[in-house]
Amino acid sequence: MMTYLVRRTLYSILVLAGINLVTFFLFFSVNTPDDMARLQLGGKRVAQEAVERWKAERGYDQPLYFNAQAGGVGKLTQTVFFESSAKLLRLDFGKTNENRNIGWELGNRIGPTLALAIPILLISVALSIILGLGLVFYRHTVLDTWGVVVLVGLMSTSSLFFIIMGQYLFAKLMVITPVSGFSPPPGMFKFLLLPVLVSVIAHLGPDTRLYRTLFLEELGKDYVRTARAKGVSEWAVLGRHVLRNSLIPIITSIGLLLPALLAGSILLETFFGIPGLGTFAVDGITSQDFSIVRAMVFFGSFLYVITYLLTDFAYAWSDPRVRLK
Amino acid sequence: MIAAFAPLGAPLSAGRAMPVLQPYSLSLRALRRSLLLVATPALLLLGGCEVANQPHSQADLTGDVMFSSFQERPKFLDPVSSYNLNETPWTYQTYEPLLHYHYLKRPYTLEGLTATEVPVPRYYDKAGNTLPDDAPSEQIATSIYTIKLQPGIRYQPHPALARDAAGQLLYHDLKPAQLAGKYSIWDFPLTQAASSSREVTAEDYVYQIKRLASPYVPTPSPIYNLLNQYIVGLQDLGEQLKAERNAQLQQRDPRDRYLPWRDLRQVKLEGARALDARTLEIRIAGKYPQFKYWMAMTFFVPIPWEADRFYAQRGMAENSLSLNTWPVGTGAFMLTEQSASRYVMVRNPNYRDMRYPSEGSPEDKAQGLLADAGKRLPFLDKLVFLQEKESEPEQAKFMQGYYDVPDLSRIDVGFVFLKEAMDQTGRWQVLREHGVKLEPTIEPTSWYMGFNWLDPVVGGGKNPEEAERHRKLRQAIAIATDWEEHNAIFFDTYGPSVPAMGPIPPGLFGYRTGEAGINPVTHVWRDGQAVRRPLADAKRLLAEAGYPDGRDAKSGKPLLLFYDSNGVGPAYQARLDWQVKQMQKLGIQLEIRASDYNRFQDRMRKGNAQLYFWGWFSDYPDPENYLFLLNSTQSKVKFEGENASNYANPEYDKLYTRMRDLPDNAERQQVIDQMVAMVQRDAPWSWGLFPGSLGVYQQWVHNAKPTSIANDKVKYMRVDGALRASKVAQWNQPRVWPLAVGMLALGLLLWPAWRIYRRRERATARTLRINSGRRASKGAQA
Repeated sequence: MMTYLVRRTLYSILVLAGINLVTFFLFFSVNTPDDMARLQLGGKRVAQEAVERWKAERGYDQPLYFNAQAGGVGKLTQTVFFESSAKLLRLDFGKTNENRNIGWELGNRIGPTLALAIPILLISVALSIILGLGLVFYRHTVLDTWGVVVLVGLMSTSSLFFIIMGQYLFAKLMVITPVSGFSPPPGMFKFLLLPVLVSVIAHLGPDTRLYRTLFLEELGKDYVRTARAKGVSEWAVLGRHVLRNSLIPIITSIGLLLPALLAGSILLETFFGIPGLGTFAVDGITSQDFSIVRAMVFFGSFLYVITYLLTDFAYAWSDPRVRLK
Repeated sequence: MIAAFAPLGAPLSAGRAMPVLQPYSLSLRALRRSLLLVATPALLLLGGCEVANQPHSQADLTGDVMFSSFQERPKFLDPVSSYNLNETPWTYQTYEPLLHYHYLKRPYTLEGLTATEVPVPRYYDKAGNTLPDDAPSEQIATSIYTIKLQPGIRYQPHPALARDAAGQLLYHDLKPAQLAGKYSIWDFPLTQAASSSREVTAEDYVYQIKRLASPYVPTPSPIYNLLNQYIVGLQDLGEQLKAERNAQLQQRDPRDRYLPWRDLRQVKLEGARALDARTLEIRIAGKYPQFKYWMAMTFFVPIPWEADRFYAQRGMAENSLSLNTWPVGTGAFMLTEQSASRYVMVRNPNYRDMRYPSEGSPEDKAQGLLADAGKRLPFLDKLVFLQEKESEPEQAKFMQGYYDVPDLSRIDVGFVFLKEAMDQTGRWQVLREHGVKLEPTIEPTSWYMGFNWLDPVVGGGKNPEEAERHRKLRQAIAIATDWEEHNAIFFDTYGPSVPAMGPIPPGLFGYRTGEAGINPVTHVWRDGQAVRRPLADAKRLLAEAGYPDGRDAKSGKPLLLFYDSNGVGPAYQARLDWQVKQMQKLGIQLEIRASDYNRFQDRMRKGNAQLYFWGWFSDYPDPENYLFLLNSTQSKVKFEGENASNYANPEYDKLYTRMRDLPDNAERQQVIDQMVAMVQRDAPWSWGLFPGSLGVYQQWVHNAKPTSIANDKVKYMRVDGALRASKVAQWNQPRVWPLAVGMLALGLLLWPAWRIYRRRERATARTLRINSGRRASKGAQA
């Protein structure tokens, strides 16, 4: 187990370094430090001198990858890439173009994102499993047929539609939730109810459909027949045996969903005015703030790496046959 | 505590201040009612939870609090750097410049704010002799403004100014460790301080003027390059500080970017000095009448040296503590809370005795704008700004009464409301029932299509013959581009705009109305109104330019022009398509080069654009601020100026210099008329439009007058909190029947589910097998 953990950690460092390099390359292929400075300084009366000063203040006055004018190791270290990446290895995300501390911003924004992500994850997974089991229970009936039709409909609908419809129905027509906004606890719940509901409904289609297929596959196996032959009720067969044996793919799908939710649901946060990590990423992209973009990409990648590691452990926990070596 | 919905238990009546959707404490009656409600499927989802659509606290809703929205967080709150419109809701409520615009008077009129009056400059020649007020500009070597400050102006409470009983500054020698966990100025308690404010002195203004040139200020000033041409010694000071700083940078550890505080009190600036505690003197090189307008902007506010020193401490920047995030000023409000999605300002307890104006037009009086004349300002206790990235939620919350004014910094939101009200479509009835005030106006702003003077096809031309042909081409395009049609189609974007006939927008000195105001190149005066010239005129000019029917007379190839757009995406596409159609009328092919704003600016700086669409938001309400956009010394390519077309005409430049130095009189009008006629003929721009502006206010907002110039407007505004609370209660009564219907429909599904379940449970193994067999055979047949 320990060897496995060490090996995966080393792999993860390589993956994160690679992602950092790719992010840097892609970002600076599209934007130049001059662009960043001018966007930050505004559209009126911006002199090149001010642009140069802005770049120097933030270390963007150096070459991106290779400093031919520097001597020795300085050719590589006195570059924008090295200086920004070295900080990242110390988990120092630096400052935004507006001189705000990114670490502090992440700390402030993780709360609203978690407040949104955790209920979405728990409710959507629980509800999808229950509905999936229910459809399997009613397989070959009209309920199953129409259930699948509804699920396909939900899958085919854009999440933006759910957001707009949700806001229309609950906030405008029924007037029982705020249209948008956020408040720290204890007033947080009313702001989260609608985005959570909308997101759960949006996840319901693909998740339930996937789980239903997984359960149906398990249903044809010998151990199910044996359980039935022993007189175990259908609900017990589904809940105790089929569900347990389907856990590995379910964990995999949760593993894919979790980091995406934690890194911030961009659409949800934007439309519902939730100051989480998703809106932070959007702010970084629209303001061409490399520090924010890189921090968010790094943070998202880190979450994926950690989640996949946890997923592996969850496999071992859920299936005694799995061994981590 | 059990939360439930007040409206279900206690119907709300209109016109009565009532809590809306507030949780109430547990009582027997409430419990019974709650149990009944929980029993209904409609509320299963919501049971036990506080569900209300009210985003604000009840105390704020009923109080003297204003709710507004913002789209983007302000980048700069430091008065040296702040120049963006979206920063004005914070900066102009926090800081007080020397002058400001009278809140009600139009045309805009300057008056003293922290200064006792608008200073009148004294003029001197090179020898230092006094000159009369009407002395020719070329004789004036120096203009001196002597500005008397109002007494008793005090800063807001701020830790930078906090002193103990012995007079020692409390927070000026902090170690980085002492800053751990401190991300707001309110994390530095003022309870131990004997004082946390002080009176403003003229030295504070001098300090801020020096900051305009200082490279030690973290973010540069956008107007340094302009003002260093006028304020005596500012450029030298900038160079001196720059050299000093560069020397310091050479000596420091390259990994450590920290530089200690530079005390600007120690350096001299000839152009700004304090004659005594309440007298400031500013020296201007030559004559610059527009300088008074700059004194009404936040570049000329007092900044205490203590604040500069406080924020320059090591560790402050790392904790996002600077004047860009936590300003210190003397204004009516001070910033107390900020997060990514919420900014809160409260009344400055040290704000001096300022009164609501008692002068205004008869229209102002009729609109009730003089009802509070003479009353002490401000009327509001608190301003709450919430972030709305999308317009849809912002509009919805406004309609529900949760915003008093949407986005205080903008006067272009709400055109969609105006259109609905005018066309009687969409929400017009709700707008009427809610008594929403929609006040359209024209503010000094301009949008235009420019021609690059350096371009070989549409530019100024290399010789007189070429110049004439190019001029005719530009004139033809100007006639064919039907801005009247544009204004009608794109009402949602530009509002009730006015087609432009020249560079000066309505409301400014020099703007002409009626027949004298038309552009004779593109319009004729017929039946008392301006009518665009027929397309035949444009085609004739095009043929004379060497492009009959849009084809090159020599090669026969179609004329292809390039149009640079400063935006991409669906919102721009319709406007770009419209532009292409205008050119098609002449047979000209227009290729759109859509790019983001950065790329667009880059092309403009390099002079690579041919035709482009751009706008100008005025700095101050003087025609000079529009006419300078075509001055050759402002060429974007040559001098990084604001003349994006790079138009160059020595005659125009000469007239510009004359016009700039003249007061608003008949002579100035005459010079302006000549300048306008000159550029109308040369057509470096296809005069586009002066967009409309709109003030959108709830019925309980009083003293609101739309303005994009008088940015300290919030202190004049008043809100009737009790009326707001009652209206909000009336407009937001929950309707749970759709939820109940939905639940019922879901419940109906349970019936077949139950029946199937029962059938399965009762079925024998044989029945099940037979049923399965039947399904299998049906499947095979299919």
